[in-house]
Order: sequence, then C-alpha cells, then structure tokens
Amino acid sequence: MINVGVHLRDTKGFLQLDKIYEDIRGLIGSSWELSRIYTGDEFCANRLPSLTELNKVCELAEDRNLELTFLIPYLTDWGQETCSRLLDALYKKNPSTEVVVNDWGTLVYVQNKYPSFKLALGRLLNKGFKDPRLQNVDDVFLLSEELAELLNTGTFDSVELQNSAKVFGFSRMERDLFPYEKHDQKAVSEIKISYYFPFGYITTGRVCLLSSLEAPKNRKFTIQDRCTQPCNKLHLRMKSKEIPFEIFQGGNTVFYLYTKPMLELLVTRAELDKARLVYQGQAIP
Amino acid sequence: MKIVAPISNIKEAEMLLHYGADELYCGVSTPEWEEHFGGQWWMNRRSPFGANIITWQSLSKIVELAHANDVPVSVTLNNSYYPAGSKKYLLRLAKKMVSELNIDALIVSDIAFLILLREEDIQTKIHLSSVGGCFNSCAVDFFTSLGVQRIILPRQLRISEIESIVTKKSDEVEFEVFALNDGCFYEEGFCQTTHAFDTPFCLINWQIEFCNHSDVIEGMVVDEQLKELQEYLWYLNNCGCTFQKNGLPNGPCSLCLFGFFRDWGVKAVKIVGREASFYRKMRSLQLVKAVIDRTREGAATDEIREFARSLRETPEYCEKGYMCYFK
Repeated sequence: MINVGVHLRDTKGFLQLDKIYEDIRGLIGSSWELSRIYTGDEFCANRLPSLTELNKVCELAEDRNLELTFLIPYLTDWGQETCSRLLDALYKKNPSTEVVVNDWGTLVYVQNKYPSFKLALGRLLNKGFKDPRLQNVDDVFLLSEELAELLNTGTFDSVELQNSAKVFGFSRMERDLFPYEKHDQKAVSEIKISYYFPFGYITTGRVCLLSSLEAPKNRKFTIQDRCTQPCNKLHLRMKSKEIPFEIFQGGNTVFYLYTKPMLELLVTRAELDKARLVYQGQAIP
Repeated sequence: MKIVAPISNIKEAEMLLHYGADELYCGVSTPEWEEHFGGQWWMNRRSPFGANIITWQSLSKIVELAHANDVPVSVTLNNSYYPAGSKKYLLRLAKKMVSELNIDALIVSDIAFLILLREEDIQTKIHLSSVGGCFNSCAVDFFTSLGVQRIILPRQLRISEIESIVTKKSDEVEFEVFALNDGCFYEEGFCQTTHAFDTPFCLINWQIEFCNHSDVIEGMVVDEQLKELQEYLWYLNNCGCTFQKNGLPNGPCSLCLFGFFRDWGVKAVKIVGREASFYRKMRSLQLVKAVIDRTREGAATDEIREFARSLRETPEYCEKGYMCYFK
C-alpha cells in the first residue's frame, strides 16, 4: 500500500478531500492510503498560511488522524523571522513535526532553533536537468552514459550528499520526477524519499508574473512582501510548438504535467523504494 | 571593492587589465567534455563557443598575464548539478588547474561537488556561485562550514536583504554582488533549464492562456500585461543588447548602490557576461570603473548614485525601474 500525502494550502482543501481522492485514484489507481497532510508552501513566502489558518489545518489533520508536514520556501533573514511564528506554534503542538526546507540556510536555522523537528530536504534543493524542450530523448540517452546519467539523476542521487545526511541533519528527501528519467531500479540510498505529483517544477523565482499582473506600474516585476495572491484564482497555460509537455505557471513557478508513462514510473518507484507520494493537484487552481 | 571582470579569450586579457579589472573570472570547456555531452550540456552555465576558454594554452597564458599584474583568476564550474561521472572528471580538471596553473579560485554551486572538493582538500579558494543560492545569514554559516571563502549573492535579493546578510557576516566571508549586465527573470539557482538550446527558457515566445478559476479576469487588460512582460524581458536582456550613444552598455546594473556595498563591506562587484563581445566587456569595465573610482574616493552614497545615473544617457531607462538589480 503506497503512502500518500496531500498538500492543502488552507482549510478549504479539507472540504474537497473526496474530489482529491477521486483525482488521485484517476492518476495512480487505488492501492494507496492517505497518511499525511502537507501545508505551507515550497515556492513563495507570501503563500505561507496565517497562524490562525495553520492552527486550523493542524486541528483538522489531527481530527482525521493524519500526520502533518510543513513546507517552507527558501527564505531571507526577514522571511525566517516571519516564519518563526508559525514554526513556534508547530513546535509547541508537536516538537517532532516533519518540516521541509528549500534552502540550506533555513535548514541550519530550523536545526538550531527547533532541534527536534524532523527535517526533509525540499525539491528546490534537488537540481537536475528539467528543461522540457529536449527533442529525440531516446537518441540522447544513447549518445553517452554521461548524458543518460544526467537525465536520470539529480542532486539527491549524489553519494556525497547522501553520506552527509546525518551531519546535515535531514532524514528525508522530497523530489519530483525529472521529465526524462527512465530508470526503474530501486534507489541505492536508505534515505526516505517522497515524490510529488502530478506536476514537476521547472523554474521559479521571487519576481512573480502573476502578482505583477495586479501590481501598480511602479511595483511590477519587483520582489513583493505581500500580494493579493492572484495565484489562488488564476494560472497560466503556456504553449509552445517545440515542447511536448503541458506547461503551467502557478504563482511564481512553472510546472510540467506528468505524462501517463511518468505516472506509471511514479507508482513503480513508490513500490520499489517504499516512497511516499505527495499529491499537489491543488497547486494549480 | 574589487572589480571582477569576465574573460573568454586571451585577446581580451590586456584590455581588461589595462582598464582596471582587479580580478578575472572565466569558464573552460574541454574536448573530453564535448565528446561526452555532445553540445547538449555545457560544463558551466554558458556556451563553450564564445563564452569559455577552450584550450589549455589560452588558459595558461591568461593566468600568467593576470598573475604578472597581481590579478587573481577564478574558474567557474557552476552548474547546479553534475552527475557522478562528470564530477570525477571535473575534480581531476580542477586539481590540474590548481597544481599546474595556480588558478586562484573555483566558482561552484553543486552542493555535492562542493562537498567533494572539501573532502579532497583542493588547495585553492572556493567561491559560491550565485547559482548556489545564499539567501540568508544562516546559509553563510552553512557554506563557510564547507570551505567557501567568498559568496556571490543571488540576483533576486533586495538591497535591504543584502544589507542584512553582509553587515552580519562580512567579517567571516567575502561577498560579491552583481554590478552590470544580464538580468534573469527566474532565480537562477532554481532554474532547471539550460541555455544550451537556441533561446533561454525565459525568453521563449509563449502562447499564454489565462485560466481563471471563475472565468472572469477583472480589471485586467491581458494584452497590456503581456506587453509589459515583454518590455521587462527586454530590459533584462541588456535592453536588447544595446549601447548608449556614447558607447557605454545598456542593461541591468547596481551602480547606484556601490556606496552602500562599500559601507557594508562587500568585497567585489561582478561584471556579468563571459559571452559578451570584446567591445561590450571593455565598455562595461569602463562604466563600472568610473563609478568604483568615485566609491573608492569616499564619495557619499547619494553622490555615487547621482554620478552613476549621470553616466546613463537614457535616464528614462533608469526611471522605468526594470533595469535595477536588487529591487
């Protein structure tokens, strides 16, 4: 039975769980069980929940006997200070909460301030080849072993990083499927893995196209401390003839939708590696 | 504060040294790498053709000439990820560059490669590329624990955020910031695309469909917004790779902020553009040197800002705000 977590940005998501179950069944079949709620955000500090919202999500998760994982985006000094209110509340509720970090500095920050949180590395730290424009992929795999390795692996596959897990203090790695990866062998590392679906991210940044749409002229395409979160109401579908994937922009991040073969590979990996799967269908409204 | 200038060809060396480059940085590309990756993937973030040194002899001459003028040379191996086989190769290459040429620093971003260099105790300085993603003061602690001695801060930090990091940590590590050229729409450290295809991902002419949850986009004229986006990208791309009438380059810059960088303890300012032409590199260096000379003379921060803006013959570009780093 595959363990599945579901990323809910707010409490409204709990009202949509039936629909979410249906969506997940449509994507990966029925041999899974929901074990965990993810909340927070990996890509944008403006999308972190308020303290009230976070407390409600915690309560609702607890009512349903579901564990909680908190997603933290990459943060500046000020971002860490702001986020600490949320982390303080989580620490008080459960000092062993699982927390996902997406920059090395926040890993250090969380370790120092909340030493018993269970730390996971977020997918922004797993670098690899994700450009969706690669043509003739099968031929590229044949060109050289090194190219095949490039398309099949990322930072989290590095022996050097895996061997540093104890020193760096993380026990899980969260990742998505790279668009061209093919291998279906069991992972060598003993470190626990989560795979996100049905999207992988390609690129992201602090200058948000969506929030710029509503910003006054002198604030467009700048880094903003707060915004009206138009990403809750709107996403962009981006089309280009050269790209075989369906590409979306949700908030400040560009994603590719997994293809059917990728979803099949996802299930294989989950079974082989006893990996957790994290459903993020709500990332795109 | 030092000026770090890009070099991609031995013919540029004398010019850069003459016009005041305090440090040089370059990338390399080797026949072995090209054989294994066939142009599909580069050794660093820029093309082997035009942006990198492609012969050992050229690299050797550049280092020799630079060192004769007390100018250090850094080599960038700054892809955010290197698979295992290529890491081994790059380690051998790095060791060779250090032992035979005495290169002064490697610019790195792959965390596993950084760990490997430390384990191998490579005898040269390690600089963290902006691609490595140092967004906060705790990250400085993390990277210095891995032997990093200089941190190139990412583009997508605001000036207040740079101040926060640099003022806390400039006693522990050197900081370098971008001064001129080549903006980036996304945060480069999290951009998993390649520049090896014809067009950078951020400059693709997408057909964009707005998918609104409630099928209503209120108060938003979509075409206007997309035009604004294209204009922003034009500025990021060095204003369409243009020059002012006096020959100084247009493009993103942080020249106005040099006074603040100086006062906070920033060690170096970087001219971006290893792929740029000889002419663009020269004019970029002249522009940065003019402003840094004022800065070194102790001019006040607002004086430096006014002077920098006076050098820009296109004040409307400055006013627009799309050309400013760290906004």
